[in-house]
This record gives sequence, C-alpha cells and structure tokens, in this order.
Amino acid sequence: MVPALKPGDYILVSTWFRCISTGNMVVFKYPKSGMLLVKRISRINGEEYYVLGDNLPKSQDSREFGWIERRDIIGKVILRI
Amino acid sequence: MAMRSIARSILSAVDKVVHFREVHAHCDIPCGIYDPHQAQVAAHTVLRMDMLIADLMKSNPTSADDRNKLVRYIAVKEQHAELVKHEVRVIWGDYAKPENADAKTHELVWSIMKAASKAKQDANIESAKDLLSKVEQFAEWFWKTKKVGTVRAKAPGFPTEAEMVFPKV
Repeated sequence: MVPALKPGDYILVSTWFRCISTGNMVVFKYPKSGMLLVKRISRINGEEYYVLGDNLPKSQDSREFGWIERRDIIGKVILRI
Repeated sequence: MAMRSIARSILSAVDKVVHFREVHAHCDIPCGIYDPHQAQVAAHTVLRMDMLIADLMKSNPTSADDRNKLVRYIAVKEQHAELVKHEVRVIWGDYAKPENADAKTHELVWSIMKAASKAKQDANIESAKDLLSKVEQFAEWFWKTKKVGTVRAKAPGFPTEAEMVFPKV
C-alpha cells in the first residue's frame, strides 16, 4: 500500500461504518487464510468489492484473488499514524 | 511531523503491552524472486534425455544394463518435463498480471503445458525441441516485463547444443 501506508505504520480502523465507497481503505479478512489485509476499494458490485493495492505493479489484490464479500470486511481505515 | 513522531512512539510503547492486531498489505510471501532459468534448464534436460534415448536405441538394447539406462533416461525426462510445467506455472500464476501479460502470454503458457505433456508421452527429439523453443519464448517474455534485454546463445557446455535465452545484466 506504499505510498499511503508503509510497513510499520499504525492505522485506526472503524468497525462502525455506514457505507463504503470507492477510494476507501479497508481492512478485510483474506478468505483463503483468514489473514487481515489492507487494500483500497476500487469497484463495488452489490455486496462484492474489488480491492486494489496502491502500489499496483507489486500489489497482490483482487486482480489475483478476485472480488471480496461484504462480510469479510472488518472496517474502514480512518487514521494513519 | 514532531506530533506524529510522538504519537508513533506512544503507540509503539502501548503496542508492546497490548499487542495491536497486525494487518498485511500482501496475502502471500511477497518474495519477488522469479526466474525462468530453472524451466529452461529442465527443458534442455528433456531434450538431452531424448538424444540419449535415440543413441541407445540405435544399438537395439537388450542387456539389463542398457534397459536400466533406458528406464533412467525416461524417468529423468518425465521429472524434468514436470519441472518445466511447475516452474512456468508458478511464474505465470504468481508473477504475471494484466499489466505485464496479455492473451499471447496466456496462449504461450497453455502451449508449454501441452508441449511438456507431449514430451512426456513420446521419446521424440522434435517434441523436446518444440518444448524448449516455447520455454525460451517464455523466458524472453519474462525478461521483457523486467525491462531486461535478452540474448540468444548456445547454452555453454550443454551437450544439447541448443540455444538458450540469457538476460543481459
């Protein structure tokens, strides 16, 4: 997620959010492993979300693992420190 | 910036005690280490095994020793054709992205899978050459995505005396 996030950054994630829009950074559970990932919402189709990393040439994101479900989204990134 | 630095120090201290949950920006180990070289060497090995099989068959092998050799050549050919498939599949699956791969790349990978299976099924030098040629094309595609030029030359010291694509580094 370079340059928006760098390794070791702290982020505050809101699990109380009404809506998610494209451009929002979200934390979600990667269905295959349960690992928590942070990516940016690129497209929304109903309850499915297409996420991309900011560092496109190196990012592993929906281009590889496909759309993610709304239920896998943990929260929205509201602050980076 | 000073405020941010102070906030980070405080968070870091709190983190040591309460252990905040960690999130990742990658879903896998992003090692970034990819190289088609192993697939190329394996394709050369398949060709070499077919050459050795052809040589052996000229003498109509009947001794146990000759038959043992034949079985070993076939086994190595089988393993290395599979290795070609594995190596190419990993690069294609993990490294290839819409930005660096197009329909031609996918077609090439598909044809490598088919050619490797054919090279297993028969003991034909032409099948092995076809596989090798496709794998070398794959290597050219790979280095092009890395913006590294390539050169085709005879693989030094390889008894296959066939060409190999090398990156110009």
